[in-house]
Amino acid sequence: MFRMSIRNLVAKKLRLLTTTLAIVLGVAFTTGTMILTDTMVDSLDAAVADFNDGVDVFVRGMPVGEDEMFTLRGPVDLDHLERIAAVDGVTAATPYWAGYTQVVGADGKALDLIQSLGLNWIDDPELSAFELADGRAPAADDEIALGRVAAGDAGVGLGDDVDLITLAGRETFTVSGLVEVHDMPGAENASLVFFTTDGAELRLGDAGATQKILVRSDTLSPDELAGRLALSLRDVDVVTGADLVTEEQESLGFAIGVFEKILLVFGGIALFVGSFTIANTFTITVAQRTKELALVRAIGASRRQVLGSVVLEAAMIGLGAAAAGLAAGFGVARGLLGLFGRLGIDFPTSTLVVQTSTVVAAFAVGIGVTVAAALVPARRAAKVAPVDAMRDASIESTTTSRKRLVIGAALAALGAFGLVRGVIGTDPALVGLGSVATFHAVLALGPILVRPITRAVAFPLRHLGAPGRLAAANASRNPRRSASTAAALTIGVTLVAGASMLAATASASIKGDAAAALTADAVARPIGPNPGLPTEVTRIAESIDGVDTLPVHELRAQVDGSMEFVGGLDLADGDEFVDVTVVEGSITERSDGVVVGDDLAEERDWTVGQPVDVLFGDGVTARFEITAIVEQTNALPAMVATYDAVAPHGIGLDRVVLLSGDADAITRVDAALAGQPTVTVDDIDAYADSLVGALGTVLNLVLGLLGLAVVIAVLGIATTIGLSVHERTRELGVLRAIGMERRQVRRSIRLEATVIALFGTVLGLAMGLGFTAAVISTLADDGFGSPIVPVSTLVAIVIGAVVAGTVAAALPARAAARRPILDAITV
Amino acid sequence: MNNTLQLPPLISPATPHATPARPITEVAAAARNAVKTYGTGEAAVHALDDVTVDFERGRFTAIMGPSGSGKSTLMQNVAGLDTLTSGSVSIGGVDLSSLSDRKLTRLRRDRIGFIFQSFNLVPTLTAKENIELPLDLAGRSPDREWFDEVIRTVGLESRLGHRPAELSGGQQQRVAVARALASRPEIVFGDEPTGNLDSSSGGEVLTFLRDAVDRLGQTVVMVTHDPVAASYADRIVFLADGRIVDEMHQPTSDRVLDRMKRFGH
Repeated sequence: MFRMSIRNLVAKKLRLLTTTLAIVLGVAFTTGTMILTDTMVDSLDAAVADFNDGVDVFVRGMPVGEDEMFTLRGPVDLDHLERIAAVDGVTAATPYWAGYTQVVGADGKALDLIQSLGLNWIDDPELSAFELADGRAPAADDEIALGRVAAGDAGVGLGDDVDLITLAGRETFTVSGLVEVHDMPGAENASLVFFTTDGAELRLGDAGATQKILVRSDTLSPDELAGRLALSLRDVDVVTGADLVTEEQESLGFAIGVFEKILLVFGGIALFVGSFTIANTFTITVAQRTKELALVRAIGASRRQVLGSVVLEAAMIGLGAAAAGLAAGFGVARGLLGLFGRLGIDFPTSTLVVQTSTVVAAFAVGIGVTVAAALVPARRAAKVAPVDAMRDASIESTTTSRKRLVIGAALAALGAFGLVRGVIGTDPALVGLGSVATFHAVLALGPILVRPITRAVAFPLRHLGAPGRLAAANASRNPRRSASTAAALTIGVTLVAGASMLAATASASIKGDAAAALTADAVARPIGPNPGLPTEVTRIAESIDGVDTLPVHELRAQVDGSMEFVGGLDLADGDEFVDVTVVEGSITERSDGVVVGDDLAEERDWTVGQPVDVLFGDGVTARFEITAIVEQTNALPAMVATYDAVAPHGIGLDRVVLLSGDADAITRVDAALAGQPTVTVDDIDAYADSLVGALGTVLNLVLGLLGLAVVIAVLGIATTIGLSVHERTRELGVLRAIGMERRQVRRSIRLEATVIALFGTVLGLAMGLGFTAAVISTLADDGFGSPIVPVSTLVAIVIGAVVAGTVAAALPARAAARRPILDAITV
Repeated sequence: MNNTLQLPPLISPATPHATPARPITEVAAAARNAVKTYGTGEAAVHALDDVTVDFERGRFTAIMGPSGSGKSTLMQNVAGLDTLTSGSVSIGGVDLSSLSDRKLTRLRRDRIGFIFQSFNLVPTLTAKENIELPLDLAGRSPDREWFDEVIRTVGLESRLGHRPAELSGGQQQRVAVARALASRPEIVFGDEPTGNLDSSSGGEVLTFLRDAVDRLGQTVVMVTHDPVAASYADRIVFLADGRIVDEMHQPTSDRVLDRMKRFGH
């Protein structure tokens, strides 16, 4: 039987290739993801260790808020430096700041680099992670050392002047030294500026405080040093360098783990789609081999042996595909690393990290998916009776089994119940469950849906003459086959349509809310990667005649134990800038008053007059009283206090500045702010667009990742069409004999594939839009408006389906049309 | 020459100069010095070995011969399904060897009807759609009067909406006969059209072919090895080893059987 499996594999090379490709792609993507993330972790771990090397102990602020990936810590009082220096055994200690610093380029604009960071220059070479390549360390308050990348981009060298934007505003500095940065991920795209210690305190933090103090000892072990420091310091967290490195590595590992899981979900989708292709191919080929299998049975093979031979064939395909996929995975990982490099995030690694688990996963997934998909066809093969060798029997059932009907109907009922109850009761989880059940019901009942839906989508074909009519008839000739071929595409299209609708709706909701809530005439906002606006923007704008300003601060703070966005803007003076609908209470100028969105208030069970404690990032806790509950929108944070109550606790940069004034006045503001390299002035529409720009990027990324599943589904259509056409060789020969032209044959086969592709697409669109609309309807409280149908995307999907069908059928159509008539008839 | 049979032909095969000059319109199809060779060198097999034959318009011709005599090859080449190694074939005066695949396909569609041994209807189409298929492929609508006449002749009025799977073998072959006649072709070729039918269904189909010739003025060329089927024809051409070895006019099944026996059948 082993030999029979091998012979079958060798005999069907082309089919093998297309079937295998589905698994190869899935495995390549999955292992590529694992190799990539392992490599990233490796690279970042090394960089973190390298960066913190030489520091025995870190003294840092106490935690003031945290979520899964990030712990917010308060500042460290600079007074601690003296206490640390006094501890016996301390060799050196230095404060450490890292903060917002933007370099102004030769063109007067901020440098367009991924990361812009200002640091203090640390003289002690052990504690410093950086080395001077040229010149000397900054010695005066108006001197800096500059990273080579920033210096190159800004076109400045040693002794040159350069303008910087910091929280203290725009100032001119002289470059005293140049710093080369090695082995730091992203260093190729980071702008690094080094101030003197005093300069850093002035520009990167609050007076009298730093972010961390780095300590080392020549005589004590890090643990002993940490122990002594902990005894002599209060209100700070003392941690050894090794522990901090582990902590930072864990936190990065967590982030990369999330990234990996997201990618693996898409890999899983691709493999799931691929499994349909495999199941289909095996079903068809087992049916085509009925006689051969019966013959083997007749000469004495047991059912088990027949089952085993098909499973073995699948296992060998899986094995080969897994090996090829693993090899291709290296390429995928390299390609993605290259892509990150293009985006400015270089990972300084030359070797890819392949863990044993990656190799095991590749083979487990490749073989597992292939064998699992081939099990049902294998069982059917085992049912072939020896007597079938004498009959012209085919064991491929073309009708829908009762069991399938019952299960499908039950799932459909369950799904409908979940969807209806979920939408009525605004329960997204129930809607989700209903969607999953309905999805499976549609896949199960697909064969029943083939006839009516293909009839509908093939309606225009009736007018395309005999090739069109034949195509329509052939598409629904074997409903089970067509349905499971199309199912692969259905899965992909469902997800694409759903993601597109979600993004379109979110985008429209955010833009709509912004447009509705903002009554200001224009918005000054930071450009690109800049985290905010220097406070002088407000001063400059305010000084223009006919212009009113409303600066908006925004930060995250811990409120009753969890992190919330807290806004700082003076709503009491905000009538001409923002339109807020008060539900309860009233908006006042009270500096301890806070205005809360109704959804948050409901969630936390808050009422007007209630006190709320907010723990800010600088470690300060402030008590506010709820003065008003307002309708929550995407345009404002869920909690808003006055500017002066919030801004001092933030990083010193405003989120935006809202502007009010006539068009001339706004133009004058724009002109006045021209000297601000990090600022742009938008009208409300342009500002709303800028809010959703990132959403479009995320959507494109998701659609790109789903593209893999769609490609595999199209490969599946190509395989099925190829096998179907092969089955119909004789019929096609007769059609050619009685006068079907070659191009008519080709067109008919292409149309058949297109009808199947459209069938899958129509189901996918219906489900993707339906489910997403249902989910969105339950999310009205979370800021979603009514579902938006992304028409242009839908049109593109349908056109794509037609193209995909045509492309998928191109090869089989050519082969069928070329076949000599006599060969075909006498098969 | 690979001539194992040493029988002299009763009538010498027609050659261009031996054929009396007839008006071209009387010949529906013809082969001239047709040679079809499979393989090369030692392994070469001559399926047709210099065959020259005319098929007259409005007549029912049967081609007979033992297995491997080349009778199917002759029909397939005259019908434009295959190409000769040398020599020429023509349909209605058109030399097929000069035609491109597309022109040849159109000629088959518009001027030739086919009936196959195993019916070969398209299973997804109804009887009516199958019958209309060649016209449909040409983008023409059927000549209603002719279509009705054909349907009446083959007696399928009540079965037009059925798919092939719902018809008996005899009924399927009647649909195939109707499909072959539907475009009012120059000539209808049958390759063992009764080979898969019981004798009464076979008789019916042959009667329709006979009627098509007598009543509708069609031309039929049929390959068969059944003397009874051949006896429906006006003329029988006998092939052996790729050559025409005999010819018989107004045959009866007994005479055919006698003649066949001499092939050592």
